[in-house]
Amino acid sequence: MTRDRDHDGVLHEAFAELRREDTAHAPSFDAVVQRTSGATTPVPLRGGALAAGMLAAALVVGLLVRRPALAPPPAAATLAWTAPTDFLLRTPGIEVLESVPHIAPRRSLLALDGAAAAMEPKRRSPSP
Amino acid sequence: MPRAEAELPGQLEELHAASYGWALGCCGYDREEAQDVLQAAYLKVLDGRARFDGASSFKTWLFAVIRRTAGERRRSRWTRALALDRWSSAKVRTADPPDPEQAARGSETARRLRLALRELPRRQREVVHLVFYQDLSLEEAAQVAGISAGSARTHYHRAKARLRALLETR
Repeated sequence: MTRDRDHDGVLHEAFAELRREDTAHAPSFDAVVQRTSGATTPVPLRGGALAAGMLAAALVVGLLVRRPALAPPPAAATLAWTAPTDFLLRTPGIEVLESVPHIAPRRSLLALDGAAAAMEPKRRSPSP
Repeated sequence: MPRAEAELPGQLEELHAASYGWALGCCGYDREEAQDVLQAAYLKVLDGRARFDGASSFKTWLFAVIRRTAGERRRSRWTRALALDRWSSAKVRTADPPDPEQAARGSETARRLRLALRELPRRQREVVHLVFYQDLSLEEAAQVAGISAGSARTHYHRAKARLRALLETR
């Protein structure tokens, strides 16, 4: 505890010495405000930053444009591959499911409807 | 309540010596860089890019502006390296080493402390400078550094321990 306090005292003295020295060499307020060297961002920096930004943007665009061409085509072996259990999917009657059914034209359907009506027995009228 | 614009130059001038010391601390005791940082910070305040809102003391707020400005300049250094004509431009200047003659003129205590401070991590250096050099409280130091009071306390104790070790070995 006492050692800490002693050390704080040593630090206070050392910092006071440093402050005195800095204050003695400090430029005046006006000299700092009217200073000519670059407080503002220098022009080469702006140009450099702009050039770097444009270069980065061009690289990104270039990569994006070239990306599909760089993608490798799928291997033929991959496309031709069939699963070992593929035969299990070949169930009886699968031809029916895989083919498109033939639908009769509308006119013949109407004819069929007419024939069915003619074959239907006539109802008797109810007796009075 | 916002400080009247007419009062700003007077307030800045009043705090100038302390601000210069703080700018030195933020710039690793590079005098030229410290003056550039200080000028940039003053211009921010005077042209209204940095506005005092009265949430803290004017000194604490100004120190935070100086610290932020030093950080911006530090971060922009790598961008400067991209400028192709930086070697030919006299205005674009990388950090100059401190003038050895000027350092030799200073006291031995100050020289040793300056060297020891350079070896501390930035947060620790900031907090210990604000407390011992600027006589700010730990809470005020935390406001300037933009960290919590607890974090400032940790940095403060670590900085003191490290400084003790460094100063004893030098």
